[in-house]
Amino acid sequence: MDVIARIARLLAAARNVALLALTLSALAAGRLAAETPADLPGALQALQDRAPSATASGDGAWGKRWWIEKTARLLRGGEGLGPADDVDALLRLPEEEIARRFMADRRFGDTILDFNMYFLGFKIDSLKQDGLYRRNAFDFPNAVASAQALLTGGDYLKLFDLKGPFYMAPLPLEFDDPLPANETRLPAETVRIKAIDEVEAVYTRLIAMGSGPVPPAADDFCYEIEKVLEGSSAMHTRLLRAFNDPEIFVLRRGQVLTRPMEIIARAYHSECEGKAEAKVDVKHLTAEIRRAFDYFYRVIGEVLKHEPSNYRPQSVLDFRQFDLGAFGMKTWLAFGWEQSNALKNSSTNFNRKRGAYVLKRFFCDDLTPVGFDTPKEHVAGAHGSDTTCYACHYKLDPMAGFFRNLGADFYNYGRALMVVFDDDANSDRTKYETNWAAAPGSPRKWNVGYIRSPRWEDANAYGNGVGDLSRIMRASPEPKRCLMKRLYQYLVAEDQAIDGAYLDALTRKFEAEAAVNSSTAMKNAIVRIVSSNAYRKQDADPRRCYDRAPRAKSEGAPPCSVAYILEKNCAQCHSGAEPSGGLELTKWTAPPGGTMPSFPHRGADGKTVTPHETFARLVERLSTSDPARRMPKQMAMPSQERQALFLWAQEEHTRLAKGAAP
Amino acid sequence: MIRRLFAAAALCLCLPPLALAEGAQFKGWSAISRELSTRLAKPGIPLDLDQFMPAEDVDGLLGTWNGFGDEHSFKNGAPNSVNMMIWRVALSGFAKSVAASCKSPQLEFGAPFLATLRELCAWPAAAAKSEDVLQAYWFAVMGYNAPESEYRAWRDFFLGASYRDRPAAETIDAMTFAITMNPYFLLQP
Amino acid sequence: MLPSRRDLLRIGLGGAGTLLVPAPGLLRAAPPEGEPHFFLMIVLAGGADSSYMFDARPLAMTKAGKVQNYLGKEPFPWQGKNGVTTLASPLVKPLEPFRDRFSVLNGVVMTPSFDGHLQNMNFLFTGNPFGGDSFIPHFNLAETGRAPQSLDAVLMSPSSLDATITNHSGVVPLEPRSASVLSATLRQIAPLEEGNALSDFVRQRMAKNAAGPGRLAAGATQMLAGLDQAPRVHRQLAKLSSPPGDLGPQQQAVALMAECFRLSISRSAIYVLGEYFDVHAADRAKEQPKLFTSAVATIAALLQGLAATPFDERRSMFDVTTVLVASEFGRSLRAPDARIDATGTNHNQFSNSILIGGKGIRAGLVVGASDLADAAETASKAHLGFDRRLEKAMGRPFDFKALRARPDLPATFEMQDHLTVQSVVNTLYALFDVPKQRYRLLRRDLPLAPVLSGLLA
Repeated sequence: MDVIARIARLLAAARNVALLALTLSALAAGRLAAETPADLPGALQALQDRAPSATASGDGAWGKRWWIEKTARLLRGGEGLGPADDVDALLRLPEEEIARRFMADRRFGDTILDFNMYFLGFKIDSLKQDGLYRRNAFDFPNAVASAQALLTGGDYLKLFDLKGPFYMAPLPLEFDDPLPANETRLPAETVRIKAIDEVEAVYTRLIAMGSGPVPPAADDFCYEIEKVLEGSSAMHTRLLRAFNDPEIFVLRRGQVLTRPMEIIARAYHSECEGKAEAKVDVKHLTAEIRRAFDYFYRVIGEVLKHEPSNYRPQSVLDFRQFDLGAFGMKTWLAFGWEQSNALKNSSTNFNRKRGAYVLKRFFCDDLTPVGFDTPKEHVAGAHGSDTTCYACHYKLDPMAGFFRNLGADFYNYGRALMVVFDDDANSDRTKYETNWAAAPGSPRKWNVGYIRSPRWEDANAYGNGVGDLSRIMRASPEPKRCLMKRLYQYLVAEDQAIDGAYLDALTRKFEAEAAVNSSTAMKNAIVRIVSSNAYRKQDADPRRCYDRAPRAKSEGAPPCSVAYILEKNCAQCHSGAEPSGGLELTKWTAPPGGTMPSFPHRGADGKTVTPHETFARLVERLSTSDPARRMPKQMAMPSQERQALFLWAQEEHTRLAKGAAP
Repeated sequence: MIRRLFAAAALCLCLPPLALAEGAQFKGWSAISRELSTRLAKPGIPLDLDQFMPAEDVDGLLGTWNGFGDEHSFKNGAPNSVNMMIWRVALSGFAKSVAASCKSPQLEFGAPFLATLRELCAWPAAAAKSEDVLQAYWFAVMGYNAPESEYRAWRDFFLGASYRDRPAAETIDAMTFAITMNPYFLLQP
Repeated sequence: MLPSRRDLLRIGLGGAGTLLVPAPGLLRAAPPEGEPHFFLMIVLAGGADSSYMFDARPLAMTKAGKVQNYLGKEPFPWQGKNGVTTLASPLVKPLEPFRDRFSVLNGVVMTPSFDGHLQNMNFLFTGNPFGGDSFIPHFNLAETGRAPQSLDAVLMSPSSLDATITNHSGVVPLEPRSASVLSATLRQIAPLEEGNALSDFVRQRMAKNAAGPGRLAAGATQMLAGLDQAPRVHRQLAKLSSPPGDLGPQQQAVALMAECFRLSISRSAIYVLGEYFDVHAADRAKEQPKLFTSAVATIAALLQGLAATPFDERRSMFDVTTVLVASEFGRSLRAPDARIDATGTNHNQFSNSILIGGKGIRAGLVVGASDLADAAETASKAHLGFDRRLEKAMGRPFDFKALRARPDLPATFEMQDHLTVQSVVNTLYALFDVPKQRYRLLRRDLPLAPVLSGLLA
């Protein structure tokens, strides 16, 4: 919470402006509503918790039916209205009630899981195929846990937990690799049982040998164990014919095959190597083999509970939690089979791909390099001396550090001497970890964290491993804002412009409600967005913001995609009668004699600065790392907002250079 | 050693995302199939619409979220000459199948849709041209995706000179095709 | 693998659209609209090590511990017609029959600020490490003065192309087997031509809805444009023939690409090789002789296919196609802290090697060079500023008029002193008459990257 308090303090000035805007607008809204009820933006109504209008925009009943169809499709896992729906009855209901009815449908679970997958960047066309959930639906356990929580009124923000329960997909009915000729016609389950029986026979033979009425000669027993150990690789290969890669991934992470062999190998080394035969403890060896077998047996038993013959979940709520106790684990890492392929840790990226993924997906930070706040200390390292690189790496590298123990396939090498990368290279782990060692004298051991500013460390949230990252995401405002942004994109359109103030208002509502119950908060957020103007618009212009925060003015204001960013970060100095540097950043007008709108801007000599020059300076002041020139001064501007403003200013600058219309 | 399972190369021939699409993209074959099944099929039994695709593995060209080996984004959803041609072939096959269902159902249609279709099968009889019958058919196939102006244009076209006297099979084929090729049907809202 | 003569013969006999024996009907089916000009881009994904192709190093350097070489064979001099010589790995021997068909560009600088795969692949295709418009669809714009083909490009490859590209809606993946089934189906169905009442009604609704201000209208506009072109594409694709099914995937792709060009389906083709060249680990680096043997064989097969396939009575497909072979970057000479016989290699954006040939290109040249050519060479301060331990070769300063590397050792790295991929793309733009407004800048704050005029035939 300290971190949040610090951010709040740093951003206090900006936030005060926003809160004042909200307060004033709340007062103004009543007057507005009384004056022009038909024009009142739907989002404003929703944000003020008014009952949404019973009539959708568009052409009367046709328009409302269109809204109902669209909402049904979105909230019922892709299934729109069908013959079983009483459309006339729905037409009589207010929109909010319709939306809540759809959210009470069991198919809503598919919507939420689908949205969660979208948020996490791994959405697929359809969660089900031929009525059964596809393997991808199980890939992100936090997506499943979060969806289940939403349906049961639980903690929807489990979505941010990168460690948690595990949900195994039903085992495959077909195999990717060819089977031996004598098995090609056998059902998949039979092949699996056969393959497992073969392994079990190896264990049971050793156990029988070691625990028979006549104990075996120690040398003989050791020899048999040695043969098993030497043949374990081939034995496991035979076993794995009965699984496909996604299940093998699970078996590997759970050390289903390696751990029993390690137990036996340890026992073998302690009893059979360097000991006189007379001193070999056959009973101990047998006990350890039995322990290894028990582990294998228990895990395989748990895995086999996912045979399609007895595990065919019909809804998200039917997804069963895997008993991680069988693996001797308490939590499962959220990144599954596909993610291990998509988010590789190479010997050059050092987990930066995973770091970039988290920044993009959970923080909505696309890592556009627009300069950075000069750190107080000199920055060294591979990218530290290069300004352009450091613009991203100051936050990317510390984010990657949360994953530093996770090598190839997200396998945890935290206790190993080496770390193995996805490109098959490996490195001494101690040396590799020095990449994240904090500078001498630092209060931290590791330079690992979510870095908002390299200059103001108080603004940052530091940690160590993936568990800390989850904690930081739950506590930070950015992931919740990101969640609201993605929800808007999911429900409205990916490329629809969003007014930042509207997004902030949505986020504040969500945060406030989530503090009580995050499932309720999420459902309310959905209602707000499906009640918004942009959602209702049948041929929406992607560049327009149809939903504005209260008090937002559109007449003479800068374009909606950046107006709020300017208001929040720049207006304190660059507005009013005598704006700093003669530049007014809250107005947007055509300059005298010009046709293309820009910010009013007068130089020190009182003469009008050309829009082209204005934007050239804006681009430079946003991206320079010189603290004396970098805007806004003495203030941590969220990098997401800096990126958005920079990209927009750059586009405007290019447009003006070409003399093109906005 | 455990089988090396992680070298699987992404074998998809997918295009990168349209980061800033300028226009609405297609909903994709999967979404359209689901919509039609929800409206027309027996509950819980999706229509087998893949049979109308002109080749296997081209459904991804109509817009898809599926992928492997990288984060997913919607691909191939922007209309172009190839995907328009594929839509046209697939949807004409579907339309013909619907029209042929006047004689006997060609797909696993649900009872409500068959009842609606049966009334239209009387075309060119006057009964089939009533507002109720036409609107019911429009909603059955289009759902409520389009504004009234689209319905009126469709209705007027089929009541006009081109189709008013044509046989039912030909007309229903054309009616179905015209609905399913409409931008409101195919494009994301 | 390089297809055998028998393979090529079988491709040729496989159907109407062939590599070697195109049916007269097909040739008639594709009347050239103006001067025919196509483009083939062959991508070596993962960052291919130039030292296994046309920017090799003497074995003495390996003995001195400077550069890995798992082939263990001395490279041979590859002399350009312009008198410039580079060292070539024996692995490129299968390309020797085509030495008069392409030029070698060495020491090509990619994006100095980024060493990631995605950023450099984006830079190659779009000129921006974060992605944007690919240069390939620009060759098919009406503003080039040529009638656009139905598609900007066909993407045919056993691997995906990992880049962030915004203008690829006209780049369509075509898989040979699907394409042949599609073709067979299309032959059974008449295209949806304009002029019949139903077709006109469908178009009318698209046109009506295209008139709006928003996203749906823009989509309807694209639908209408696509539908207008669909009958042409339908007829074109219906003419595709099915290559013999027992051919390898690469040979099938070659056949399909040739047909797509000849039938005016597509202006360009992108072929991403199946090999992945990212060899950080020593074990993978040791596989490079095998990787490059296979990759060179495929490139040779593609070139041979182009050369052996007539476009018309006078010209081969190669005569009408410009070919570019490129990777997103090169590789370091070795990795630090490993024995020279047990080292992998890392990314090197400071020196890439590109092959360019075919229509409009002066072939047989060797253009540019990378530094650290022998164990004793002194690196420039510009080089040392980026790479103190000399793990990466860097493109030498470049004389754009003479198309030769300069001998000077600059103190600072300046983009305008180097042969960059921006110049390579601008050269292609010049070749395809793409208007100057689309030319790439050397950098945001620098002028346009110079066209390599001396490379244009």
